[in-house]
Amino acid sequence: MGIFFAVQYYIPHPVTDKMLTDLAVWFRIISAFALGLGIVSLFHVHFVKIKRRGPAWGFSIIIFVSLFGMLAAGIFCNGIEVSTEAGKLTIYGWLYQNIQVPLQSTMFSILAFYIASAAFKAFRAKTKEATLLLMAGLVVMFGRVPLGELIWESIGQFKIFGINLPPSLGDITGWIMKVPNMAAQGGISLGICLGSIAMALKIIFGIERSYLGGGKQ
Amino acid sequence: MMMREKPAANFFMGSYMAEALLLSECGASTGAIQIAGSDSISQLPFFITTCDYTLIGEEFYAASAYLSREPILVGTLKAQDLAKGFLLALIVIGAILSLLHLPAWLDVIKDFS
Repeated sequence: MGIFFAVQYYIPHPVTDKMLTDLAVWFRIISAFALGLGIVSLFHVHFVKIKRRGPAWGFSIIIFVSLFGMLAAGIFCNGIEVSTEAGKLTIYGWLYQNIQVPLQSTMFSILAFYIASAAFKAFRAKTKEATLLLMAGLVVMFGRVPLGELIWESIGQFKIFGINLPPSLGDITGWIMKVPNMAAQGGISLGICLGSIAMALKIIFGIERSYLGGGKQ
Repeated sequence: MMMREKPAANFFMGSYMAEALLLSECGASTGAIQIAGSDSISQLPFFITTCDYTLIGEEFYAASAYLSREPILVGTLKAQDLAKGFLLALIVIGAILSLLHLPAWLDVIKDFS
């Protein structure tokens, strides 16, 4: 099947296109089973936790209540968030808009603080490389805000052999992002592409079987 | 959960999005040893700053071969390195041809790759 998916890309023909469309439906069905398997696993873990009164078992009850509550609301409202007749939120839409969205926003707003903490760790000028990273980071940060550009412009520019010096902060930021940053990203992307192709081939031909469980072949 | 159970080691392997930093920073604050491996380029900087060891991009795919030392798996890594060398050579040749303004030869490389 894996070989077919790879080869199909190189044979643009209505027959192979039709086969690909049919297989895509199969793929969706199998994915649904994988989702079901995940839910069964989740049930098992939390049911056992509640039964044994494990640590923080109360959270497991919340999981069941949330899961079944949302499932029941979704089925009851046919998956519709806003009722077209009344123009109001359905129960499912209300739960989504007033519980799930704020919870997600709260969780991801914590990210801002975590980024500050991670930036502090990354920008400690302990080594030459870290100092270089710090300087590049500062230039890019200043280059991306109007205040930075304003401060940079206040230094003034002069011409040597028809070249404006120092170059604008936007140009420096653009160069850092487009040249060294893009070169590093390109190198990593190239490795990832080759690695994923090799991994796909290893799985298709059964060389790599560790994902099925067990270490030895 | 990490704060409550205080695991000794955390492994973050696979494809990650915005949750990468939430998980790894939380784990780092508990003092656990953290090892990450991901092919999500945008999340790699966060893993590098918050984890003790990070498998960057292709290293993630090479981990099983590195740990098992299985000759077939190690062989695929060597093939991968050869392919990478070949592609890099093509990129360098393409860049030189582009600089020399030889579009016809450049098209041959484009068609080939």
